[in-house]
Amino acid sequence: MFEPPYTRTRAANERLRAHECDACGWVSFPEQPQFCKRCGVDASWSETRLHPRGTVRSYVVQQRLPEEFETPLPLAVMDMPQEESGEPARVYGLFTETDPADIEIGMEAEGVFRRVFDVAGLPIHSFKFTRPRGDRL
Amino acid sequence: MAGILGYGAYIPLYRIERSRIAEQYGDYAGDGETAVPGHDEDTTTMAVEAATDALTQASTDGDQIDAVFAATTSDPFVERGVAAHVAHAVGAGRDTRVGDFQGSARAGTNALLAARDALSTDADTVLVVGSDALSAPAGSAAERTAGAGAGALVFGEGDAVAALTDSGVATTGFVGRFATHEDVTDGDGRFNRERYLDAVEIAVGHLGDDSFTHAVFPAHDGGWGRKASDALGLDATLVSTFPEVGYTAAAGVFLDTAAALDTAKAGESVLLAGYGPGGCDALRIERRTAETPEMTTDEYIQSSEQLPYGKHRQFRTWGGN
Repeated sequence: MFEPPYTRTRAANERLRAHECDACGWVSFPEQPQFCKRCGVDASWSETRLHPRGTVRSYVVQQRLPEEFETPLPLAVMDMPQEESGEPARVYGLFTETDPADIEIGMEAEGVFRRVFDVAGLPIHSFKFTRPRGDRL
Repeated sequence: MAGILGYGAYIPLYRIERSRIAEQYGDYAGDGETAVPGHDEDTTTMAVEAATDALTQASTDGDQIDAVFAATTSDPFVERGVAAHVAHAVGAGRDTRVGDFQGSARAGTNALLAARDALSTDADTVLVVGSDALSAPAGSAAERTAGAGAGALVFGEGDAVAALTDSGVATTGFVGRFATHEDVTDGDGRFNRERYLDAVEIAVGHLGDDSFTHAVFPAHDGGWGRKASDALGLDATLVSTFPEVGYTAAAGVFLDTAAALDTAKAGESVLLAGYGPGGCDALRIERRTAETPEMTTDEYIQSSEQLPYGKHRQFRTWGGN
């Protein structure tokens, strides 16, 4: 966070801030590129915020990772709706506290605020996905 | 009087039975479970989860918040703070005032009283969170009940679900249980309990109205609440998350209050006695509606997964908890 890249990406990491292309409505997360990846225009972007509950579109399960990760670790491609109106954003994210056997394509997953890693001991926080707590009663 | 627009709780998914911890050391422990933070959870993440639930119930957006106060006894940092990071994560603006309350489980009620006072000066909407992930050395008695969780309240003007209506304070300066980053010292249990009961009686004695339907006495000893209730001659339902979550210090102030509000009906009232090194604050909270947040405290308790001892230790180590 005290390192420039984490200061710049903090709003995307912690608040799910995304950018919507003014020309075609495609939503970019987490980066704000020069050109829209869909319509290719030299884009102007409007700031938007994603809703922390989305739909699993695809996933893989990582079995071997450095010690700070909990394995087996599902990694998913999600569709995350915007808080207001518009298209959902395609988001790549880590799962946490979820048995891979409980993940299905098309299921809803909830973004929860977690520590992703440390930089010099300082935590970097962002969203991870999980099977909603309300579904585990 | 300070209106409460919303409240929320958060309890980690993972639990361990206290008997499972004790048997690792050939000891016996009574019933009960302790909540264990996941390897990627800390005081900040849990505070944000509870705050999000409270803000949702309050229909309050982050940019409406004028102040964020955070209470904890388990901040792993000497210099960093918690409140400013919670404020950023919930979308509070750059003109938001923040305050960190630490050093005693009583920090929870200290923060609530500061929020009430802020409302009478320069703030319309205040978010207060309590969050703790207690640590304890492997094999220590404190390890069995070193819990984790968070809770939050949103104060403001509008349709209140509850209200903080009265408070009483007893600053005795007495220190019973205390902790460093490395260790926990309990001291003489019976002597400490007597001092605890003194402080609670003084603080509650300052309240104008001593009739309550519910009472919460968050404390590191699960039996102290009943003793306090008897000493005060209360005829109130005691509510505690200690049996399922363990001791959660400043967070326990909010968690137990949330659990009591979940069950209290409109017009009923909760006594909250926040105690820690230095003394006790007694608060009266009146229920205005029976509306509960999307996830109640009991639902967080019910949605759980058991950990074996080694895994629980690993998670505590990874998280610095």
